[in-house]
Order: sequence, then C-alpha cells, then structure tokens
Amino acid sequence: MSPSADPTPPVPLKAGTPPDPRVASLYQEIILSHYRTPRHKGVLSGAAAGVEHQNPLCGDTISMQVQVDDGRITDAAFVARACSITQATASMLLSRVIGLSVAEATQVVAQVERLIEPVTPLSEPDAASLGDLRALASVVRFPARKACVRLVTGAISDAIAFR
Amino acid sequence: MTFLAPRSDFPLLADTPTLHYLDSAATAQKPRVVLDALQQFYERDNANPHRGAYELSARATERYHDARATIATFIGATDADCTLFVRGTTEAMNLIAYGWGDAHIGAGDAIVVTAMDHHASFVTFQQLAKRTGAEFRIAELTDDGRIDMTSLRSMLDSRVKLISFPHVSNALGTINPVTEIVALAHAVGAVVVCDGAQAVPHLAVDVEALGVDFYAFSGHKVGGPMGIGVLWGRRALLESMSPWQFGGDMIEIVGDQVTTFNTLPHRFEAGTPNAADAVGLAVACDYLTALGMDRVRAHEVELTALLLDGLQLLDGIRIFGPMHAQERSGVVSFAFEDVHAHDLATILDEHGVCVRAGHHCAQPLMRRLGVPATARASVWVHTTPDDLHALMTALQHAKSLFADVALR
Repeated sequence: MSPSADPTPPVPLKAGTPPDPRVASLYQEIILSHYRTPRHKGVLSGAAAGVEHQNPLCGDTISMQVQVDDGRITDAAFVARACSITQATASMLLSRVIGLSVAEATQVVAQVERLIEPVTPLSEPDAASLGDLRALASVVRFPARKACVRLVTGAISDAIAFR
Repeated sequence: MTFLAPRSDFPLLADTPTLHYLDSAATAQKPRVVLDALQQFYERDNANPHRGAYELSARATERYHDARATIATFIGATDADCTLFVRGTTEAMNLIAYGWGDAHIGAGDAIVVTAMDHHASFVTFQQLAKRTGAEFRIAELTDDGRIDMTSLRSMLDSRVKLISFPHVSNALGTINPVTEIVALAHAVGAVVVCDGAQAVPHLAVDVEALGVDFYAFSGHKVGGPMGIGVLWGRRALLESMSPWQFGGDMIEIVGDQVTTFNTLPHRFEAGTPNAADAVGLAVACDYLTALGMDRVRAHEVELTALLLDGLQLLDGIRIFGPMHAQERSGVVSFAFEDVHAHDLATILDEHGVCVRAGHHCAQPLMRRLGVPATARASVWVHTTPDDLHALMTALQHAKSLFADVALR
C-alpha cells in the first residue's frame, strides 16, 4: 500500500480519437435521425388534452398532446427536455400512431414496451409493423435506458386516457 | 503525485482491469482491508453488543467502541461519545431535524440552506420549516459555483435558528469557507449543520477546528460499508435533545408509564447497533490515515487539474464550479450543448468509464444552472491519469456520434 513516487509529470489529456463502434447498436442512424430532426415536436393549437411526465431519477421531462376525433388519433405533439432516446422515441411513436384508432395506438404502445422488455417476444410481423420504432429493440442491452423509452410510452398512454 | 493507492488494494478494481471507475462521489470502491474486517467481525467477534454477559458479546462491544474512537479521531473529535452512528448523512440530517429542530424551531423562526445543499439536507430542512411554520431561506450561488456570501449575509438575522450547507458540494466540487460561515451564523445565534459527505473522503477534517455544531458523513463514500454513517454534534446540543427513535439500547430504566434514557451516544442509537459496519468504517478510516490525508488531497488536486485542463479542450463543454483545482474537490460536473448527460453516460459506459449522469440529488441547483442534468466525473485515491485518458477518449467518441446535433 505504500504510495509510489512519480517524478515525471503526467501527460496532458488530449481530445480527438477515433469513434468506437460498440455503442452503434443503441445509437443507430434511425434513432439519431429522429433525434436530429424530430417529427411532431411542438404544441398543438386548440384544445387537445396534454399531460406532462417527469422521470424523477434524472429530471427529464416530456409533455404530450393527443388530439382524438371519433375514436381516432388525428394529431399529436410533444415537447421534451430529455435525452436522445426519449426524444427519438417520441418522434417515432407519434409518427406511427397518428391516424390510428385509440385501440390500435394503445396496442402499438404495448408492443414498444414489449420490445424493450421482451418477456414474451413480439412475433416477426408485429415487430415489422412497428417500422422505425423497431430500432428501440437495442435498448434491451442498456437496462439503464429503458426508463427513457417508458417516459414516452407512459406519457402517451396517459394523454390518450386523459383526452 | 498522480499515483497513490494501487488498484490491487480494491478487489473490484483488481478483478476488472478495464474498468475506469470515476464515480467515487456516488460511492467509493472498498479496500480489501475493509472487506476482510467485515468478514472477520462476523467470523470471530459476532454477538449482540451491550447484551450478553459472555466474553464474545463483550468482545463485540469492545470492537464497536473501538471503532467509534477510531472514527472520532479521524474527524478530529476529542469526545468520542458525541460521534453517533447513523445509517448515513441522510439519516443524520433527519436526526437533527426531528431531534433538535422540532423542539427549537417554530413559527417566526427561519432556516437557511444553500442552493448547493444535497436533497438530504435541503428537503429535510424544507420539510422541517413546513412542519414548524418557519421561513425557509435559500442562499444563492455565484456564477462560478460558490456560495454567494452577500446573499448568505443578507439572510442571517436573529430569526435564523439553523443553517445548513455542504463542506464540499457534491455537484460542483466547491470547497466552502466553513469557518467564515460558522462565524457569521454564530454571530446571529444559529446552529450550524455541515454536510461532510463529500469532504471526509478527500480532505483532512477536524470538526472542532471547523467550529460547526453538527457534522455528518456517510461511511460508504469513505470506502466503508453501505448503511453506516456518522453524526457528530456538540455535547451540550446532543444532551439537550430528546431521542428521536425509541427501543432497546437507548433506555436507562423502563417503567410501566415512564422511561428514562441512556447517556450519549446510546440515547441516539436505538436497537441493535450496526457493529460490523462500524468496524468496517473504522478500518476504512485507518486505510486513509495510512495513505495520509494530505497525500490524498495532493493526489486529487493534481488529477483534478489534469481533468479540468483536458475537459476544456472539448468544444461546446460547460464545466461547473470553480476552475482552480486548489479551490475544489475532485468532483467535476460538466455538460455539452449537443450531447445529453444520459447519452454521454451510456457511451462512456461502453468504454468502461463509469460517471454519474443526472441531477445529483440537487434539483434546486440544476434549475439554477439551467440544465436538467450534468455528467459528473470524480476521482479518489486509486484514480490514475489512465482513467482520465479513457474518459477523454470516450467523450470524444460521444461528441463525434452526436456531431451536428443541437440540444433543443
């Protein structure tokens, strides 16, 4: 345990190294693309119901509005102060559910939750039907990030129920 | 002094050579000697302290008492009986709030905390104010992450009964001017509570020289076990306080209707004491004493300077807290304009670099910094420049992945 003397000064830290491919599976281009140019980000004008959810562990927040007419989601929007996974999830999920009936949208949300917690794996056709959202399957490998997806699925479920 | 404690002193680090553990501020890795001491206590000395008349129980009692004495000495407390064992800093703050606050604070009084208080003290004293009807005042910070002494002075008047602040900020690394704040607080008759959780593992602490009235820290951040911590208090204050938890060990005579209570420290340690963890914590203190707290500090100053210099090379980085290593601990929080702290932590994790990402149990502070979360790297006795080089590599990777993203 005796501390060793080190007469040579430490080498200064440097910036600038090649990228590491290991995290590519989480940060796939499809996720980064939705993060860079999010769809349906903003606030709906009119009287659409809105909810605000927070992840108490990290402080990230998302607010979500869903417009339902005759049992069908006709428009939706989100505003988030959150990480890339949350923002991309919101962008992909709203893109997928707008135009669906409430029952269909609820099923999509349930499928996304099964995608990241595959106790009973989705069938191939179900997974394929999720489109871009399928990229979220990579979150399985990152348990600490599942909450980032659930922040969105929880908010949209609430917004639909709350409308 | 960029190398201090060998990695081989820490079984977890020795077993994972590729891990760069830069989250000691959340919890420290455990030296082998601490783990051995826990094992030995349970294998050789385990009995309920203060209970049996048999030799084994007497030995457990003695180990527990010796641990208290060692820890008291480590923090400069001459009166070991004023060094109470609790679960950690959070429980210590609650003990103060319920044991002292409820009896001495009422409507018309005021409590002062700082915008850099950890939730352990911030929320505990906020709720004490709410219970008692006292005013809750928050001293603001300067732009470089120090307590704004002008703001603090303006809040100190004769109504203030209690002031709380961290010795070292867990999110900013700022080392606060304890004796200066104590002088201001005592001038208006306020009791001073100092959160030492981020100080005791890194600085030579002398609670009596600091002049505070209460000082708390958590064992697990010092390399001791989780679930044990210390509250030191002035004898006169502790003796004036009612117990806040009741049960075995803390009593003197239990009548059918009336109970009298034990002396210090037992009156605040109801139930079977956490003797094994106390012994483990004492060994952790001995481990640091053997390294030398002055050398620990010198080591961390050198690494912190290296880290601050390196981080500043990265585009779009915001580094929080004082920029001079001498004025801060080895806790460095930062944020990028284009990479969220959680994305950063995930990418760093893939590089084997452990940092904390989040609000650091300091949401009032995060609001003032204008960020939802920061990434925080922290160094300790086993940290080497190699760990920091790995951090820089991983940060650069994160930045390249998120290039041309603007956080909205």
